[in-house]
Amino acid sequence: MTAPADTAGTAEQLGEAGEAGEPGEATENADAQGTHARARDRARGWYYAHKASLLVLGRVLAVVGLFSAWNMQGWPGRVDDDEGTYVAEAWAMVYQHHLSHYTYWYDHPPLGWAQLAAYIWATGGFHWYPSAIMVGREFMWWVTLASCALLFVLCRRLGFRRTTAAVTVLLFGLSPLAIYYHRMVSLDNIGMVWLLAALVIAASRRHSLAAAFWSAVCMAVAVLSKETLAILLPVVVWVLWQHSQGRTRKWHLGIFATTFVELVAFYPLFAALRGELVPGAGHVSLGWAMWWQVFGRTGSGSLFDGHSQIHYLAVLWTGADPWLIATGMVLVPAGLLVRRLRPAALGMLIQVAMLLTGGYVPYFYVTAMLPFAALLAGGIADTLWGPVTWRWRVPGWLPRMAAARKYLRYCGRVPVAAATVVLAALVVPQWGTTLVNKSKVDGYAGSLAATGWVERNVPRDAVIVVDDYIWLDLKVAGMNPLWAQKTGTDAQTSHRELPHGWRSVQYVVLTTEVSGALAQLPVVASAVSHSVVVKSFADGVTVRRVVPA
Amino acid sequence: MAAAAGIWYALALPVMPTVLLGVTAFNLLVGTTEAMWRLYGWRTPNAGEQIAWPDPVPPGREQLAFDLIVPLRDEANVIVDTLHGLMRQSHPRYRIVVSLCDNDESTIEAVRAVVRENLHDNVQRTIRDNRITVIVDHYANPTKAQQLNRALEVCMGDVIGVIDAEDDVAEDLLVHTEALFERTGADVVQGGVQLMNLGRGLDKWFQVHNVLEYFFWFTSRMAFHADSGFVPLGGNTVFVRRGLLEEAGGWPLSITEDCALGVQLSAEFGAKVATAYSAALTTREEVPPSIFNKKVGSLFWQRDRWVRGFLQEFIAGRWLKMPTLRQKALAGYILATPILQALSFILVPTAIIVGLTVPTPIAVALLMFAPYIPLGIIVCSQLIGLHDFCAQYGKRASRWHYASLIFLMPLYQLVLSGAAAVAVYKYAVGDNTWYKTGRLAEHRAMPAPEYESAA
Repeated sequence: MTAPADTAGTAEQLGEAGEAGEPGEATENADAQGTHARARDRARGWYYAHKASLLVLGRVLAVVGLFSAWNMQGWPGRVDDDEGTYVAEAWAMVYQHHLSHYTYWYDHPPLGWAQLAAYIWATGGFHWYPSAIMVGREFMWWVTLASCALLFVLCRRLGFRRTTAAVTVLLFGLSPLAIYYHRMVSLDNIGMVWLLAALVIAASRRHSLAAAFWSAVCMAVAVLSKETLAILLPVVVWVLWQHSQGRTRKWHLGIFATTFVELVAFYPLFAALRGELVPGAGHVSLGWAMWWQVFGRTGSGSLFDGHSQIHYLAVLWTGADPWLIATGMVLVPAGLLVRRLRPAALGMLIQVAMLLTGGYVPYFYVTAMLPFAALLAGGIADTLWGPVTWRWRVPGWLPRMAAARKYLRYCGRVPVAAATVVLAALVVPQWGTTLVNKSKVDGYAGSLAATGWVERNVPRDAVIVVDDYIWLDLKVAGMNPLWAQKTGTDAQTSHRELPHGWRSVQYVVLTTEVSGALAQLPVVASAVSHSVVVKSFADGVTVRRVVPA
Repeated sequence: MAAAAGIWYALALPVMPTVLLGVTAFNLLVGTTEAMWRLYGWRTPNAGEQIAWPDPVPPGREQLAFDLIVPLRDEANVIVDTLHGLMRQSHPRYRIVVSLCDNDESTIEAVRAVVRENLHDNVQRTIRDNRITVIVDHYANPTKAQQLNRALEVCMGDVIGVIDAEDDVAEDLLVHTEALFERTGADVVQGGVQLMNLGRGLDKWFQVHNVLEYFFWFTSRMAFHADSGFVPLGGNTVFVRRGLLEEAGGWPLSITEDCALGVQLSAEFGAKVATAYSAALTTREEVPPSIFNKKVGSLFWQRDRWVRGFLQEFIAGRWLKMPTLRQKALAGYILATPILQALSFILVPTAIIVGLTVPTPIAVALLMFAPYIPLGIIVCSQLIGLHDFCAQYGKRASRWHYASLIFLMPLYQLVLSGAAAVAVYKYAVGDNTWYKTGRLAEHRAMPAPEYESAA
């Protein structure tokens, strides 16, 4: 349209400005080069400033990485098929473009397994392993390393010495309890990375407002990965409070609160856009799911009741490692006395308090306690190692006291030394024994063998009730598995797949996961009671064929 | 155009989601830059110290001579107090040059009265000799730029400052200004200006918004501009070295001579601008008393003039002379901001309404809400900003002020967007008339005299 005239005008101007233009360009180039050089210098400066820390962190990560990877598929065994559920949901995202392999019902925000899906999509991981769940475990390995790195940076930002920061990360990464839970595919692991990132950023040394913003973003991602992590919000806010200064503190807290609330609000917004915010006939809803999570679930009972669910979990946790969590709990009062450790102590306290309320305690609950327990252990040691500062004056009639102080200056090192002896003499051998023993466990053998047998011997279109560990492998193999949990709860599924109730079921792969839940699954229970064992495998896994009488 | 259409066709992008995402990206950009600019002064604890005024030059060590130009038109009701205030400057070497129009008799008389009283004072204190110079000239169609340039002819000091008729200027401003010139080696110093009256009553609902606009402009955004090297200057409390100003040929004859001068000095002379802000040294002004009433002073028509000034500068293209590409882009964006923000104000709700009525993928629908994140941060910053403003200036804001910031923000933006639309229209049809903002002196704690003449 007006292009020719424009071009002419530009050419003229160029002609005029030709001579003046060149030096300008030269400056521009010089400027660009200057920027690159500056960036390079900055990177180099950063590297030299952090060289020692990077070396320590590298070694720590190598150790934790090795121990985490050592038989990570075999132990823990197939003990909680939530693992399978998350991988199946990620699989559904990548290959079916759905949020879940069954109807998504707002059990958790989908961002957690979306990250797993992204990993699966980027690596094409399903093709490497005999069982789909193993990709999830592989992703968890990376997640654990990221958590360790973040925890190390957090320690450093809280002023830990390199040694104590390294010890903290080693406690966090090598406790058999931690290894047990870090290996399992859980949203808690994914959420904790983001929570640690939020803490690291909140403890930023520059105290910039951008830190408040990004910390809120990370915290929001943490909550949108695993909603229960919201109970740790006060911890992040406290760290942010401690790392902001009077004049800008209200700005920090304001920006953090706004950003966090707005980002988390995307979850109900998402539900609202799908018309699933409030309960209604014929559809799932966020409202109902939240009501169920808070009020609808039966509690896990009292810690002191020998038959309660929580007692069972506590026995499991202390059986894997009696040291780390207990130490963390014992150190809570001490942690509350040290300014920089107060938020961590609060984090521990909140979670212990939640345990005692008698509400529902998820299997992975302990995951979020691990970093705080390690922080308290490492942090108290770090604080005690330093010289004691006496806050009160010596009364004049006690002159010897003043002299004694000189010798007591490093008295804090005595308990640290004692703890180190305990660590070396008791904890390390015990952890080592556990890890060596567990390295020979083949926890997936029975389940995997059963899966293989079913794939070879069962008709493709037969309805096979399985747990979620096996579900995805059979689905990928083109079979017709039915997740046991969905026989009762998912109306659509039971209508389509089970028109004749239990009689529509042809096979049941009975694992501990399924047999433990039979009381809540009447359809499966009936099917099992009308079935015969076709084949038995390790770990008590049996394939049963339903024989309608 | 054709190329873009071709690429679009080749990629076979779905039309509606792509347009919506494009609009969302635009809104996100506008919102994010606004949020970042207004928080610039608080980005780190040090940022506040960086923009604070340096300590004043010690008494007896003052080197620079200042000429403070006060251009006046129909300001008889406020000028007496302003001149009295200016006479109290603690700096020993300054003159006040009052620039008047010859047909503005009431103001001339008011100024003369102050001069007479000052002469009387001088009998005792000869040191304040000849403090005020009065320039009266005839202008066919007077503008602030013409009056300033006329006054510049008689200035002999090292630094020229501009003070508006209604300004309450801090007594120690000049000694601090000299210190800032000294410390930074700057060519231009822009001091803080702050509107003071938060307004009471429903019809003054907009005043708190305008107060905060100034608050963030001078605490944060001016510092950002100064650091970026491209500064559309403010209309007063601005100090320029006389040599540079004369080299630039005085003030450009624009309806926003302040912005134009800033652009010219930044782009053509590479002038270094220093800015500083602290509550004790800000020049205090009043919010226009009404939105549309031109007689008493109108926010809307004042904004129309400003937006047109920015638009003229954008079209004039002097900003293209900034040295680096990055600075060019930033300068162009800064000048276009008032119009882009008005556009974004319309597009944010429009995109969502369209997105919800037309079937769109849920991911796109979710993303359309992303601009609400910077928007929420902006609202949050308004609330904290009001709290901070009150703390710094010893003011009290009621909860209605806070409520106004939250709930009437869209209405205020509507006023600004309307003004921007009028400005664009006037520019397009070549309408160069403008209106001078009237004053009621609401920022001063005494009752203002009846406003007499129309602009």
